[in-house]
Amino acid sequence: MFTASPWLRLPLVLAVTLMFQTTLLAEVRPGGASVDLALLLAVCAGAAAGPVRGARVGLVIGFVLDLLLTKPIPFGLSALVFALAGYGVGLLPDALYEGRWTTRSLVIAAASGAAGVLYAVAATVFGVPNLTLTHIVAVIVVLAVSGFVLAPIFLRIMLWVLMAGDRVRA
Amino acid sequence: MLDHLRERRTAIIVMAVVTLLTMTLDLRGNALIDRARSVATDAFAPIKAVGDSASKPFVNAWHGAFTYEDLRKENALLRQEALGNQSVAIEAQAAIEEYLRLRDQVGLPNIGNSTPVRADVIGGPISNFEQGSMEINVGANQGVKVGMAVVTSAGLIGRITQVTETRSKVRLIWDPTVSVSVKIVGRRPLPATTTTAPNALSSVPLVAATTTTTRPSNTATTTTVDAAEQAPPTSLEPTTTTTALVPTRLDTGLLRGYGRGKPLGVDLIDEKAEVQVGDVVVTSGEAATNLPSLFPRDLPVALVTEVKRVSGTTQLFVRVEPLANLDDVQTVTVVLYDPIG
Repeated sequence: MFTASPWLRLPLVLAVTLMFQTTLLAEVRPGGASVDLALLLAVCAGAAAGPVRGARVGLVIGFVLDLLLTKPIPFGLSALVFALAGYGVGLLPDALYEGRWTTRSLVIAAASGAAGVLYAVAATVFGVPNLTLTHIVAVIVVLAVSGFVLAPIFLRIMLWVLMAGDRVRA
Repeated sequence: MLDHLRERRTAIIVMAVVTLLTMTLDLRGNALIDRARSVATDAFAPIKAVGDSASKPFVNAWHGAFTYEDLRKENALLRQEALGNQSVAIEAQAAIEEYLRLRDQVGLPNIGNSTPVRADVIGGPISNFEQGSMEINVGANQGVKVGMAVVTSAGLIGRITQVTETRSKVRLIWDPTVSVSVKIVGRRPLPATTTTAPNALSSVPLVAATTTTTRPSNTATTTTVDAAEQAPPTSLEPTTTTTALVPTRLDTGLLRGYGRGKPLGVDLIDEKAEVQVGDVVVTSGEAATNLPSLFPRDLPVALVTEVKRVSGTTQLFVRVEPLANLDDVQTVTVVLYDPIG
């Protein structure tokens, strides 16, 4: 059944991801920042399937996450950032993903940190309060470190979700 | 190749436009988006409940590893405080009863008429950029409405900002998007009255009072006594000067947060107001808008910690410290106060 369409596999993965993000990771906050698994999924979608599909998947994941957030975070902010993150990572050359796993992890870590910066900038532009520089730095560090550690697992997951295991970027 | 690039560009532009449109709609206030968020929160609740059960051991292990020592020290401190608070609680209970009796006498509505609903905190912020919010396990089914006050035993902690059937979101008062109409109350002396014994004490207000008694032998004593505990007048002779300390409303203003870990401020306090460090901030029960406030009056909020006169303005710079510990909230009470309903 799940081989029929990525759009059937994605809700399953997303539900499990958000389950952990809203419970375990909402409590476990090193330095006041939490690991953002939804963002990591969007980044890995771009790495696995290229810019267009990465952006589409990022958009969907972002909108679903936005449904669970409250004001003052406007509905659509996560969707915008995740779509741009998926798109941006998808534009990176294939060679970066074909080397050692450490290289792939470093790329995902850097992309996750960059997406954190993008989110902070977008949130500031749209009037989200309480964003101090210390907090933003903590968020970027946590996103980058978690991206590095979890990249091998999440890349595999997104390859299964989007390509049924074979990487064909478009 | 060019088609490929055009397709990419078109896709990302369309997505950006769609997200910007939804953000604009939401920022301007859109009932459909609010309803969608409410439905999604309720629909996701069972999944979250499973996640809570599954992750509880890991969360406990995390807190055990990183906050155990702090909790142990805090526990010891709280035990000591609890012992000391027993006598204070008895005095406070007597004061509350007196206060309610007086309010009834003058016909003012009081918080005792509103039903408090206890709730557990079941979640903090999900996103790294969603600070200052928490989720509680009561909702519209229990009568909770957007705008209602959320308190702990220590005082006000926040305001309800989103309500679903079974859950609600609370924004804490340190969040800059929350503002609360408050009044600053301090104990100030009434103008001194001089009476002659034997019925001098009949004019003492029902609050703490400072009594200076001048004896014929020219020795003076100053004592602070509670009028309720005051013994009947003795045979003290001639002159008794009484200066009563009574709760005085100094000014009303707007409580504002400045972010996590930062002191709160009270704006719009007139420079002539005699606000002092140690004065108490309570809710005023008034609303900044035309709609009635869902905050009952006189909920304790904070203590004044800093007062400065700033040149070039007609307002005082007032900083306050919340009475409740906003960093560690497990159980709260929603005050179901609705002046219309």
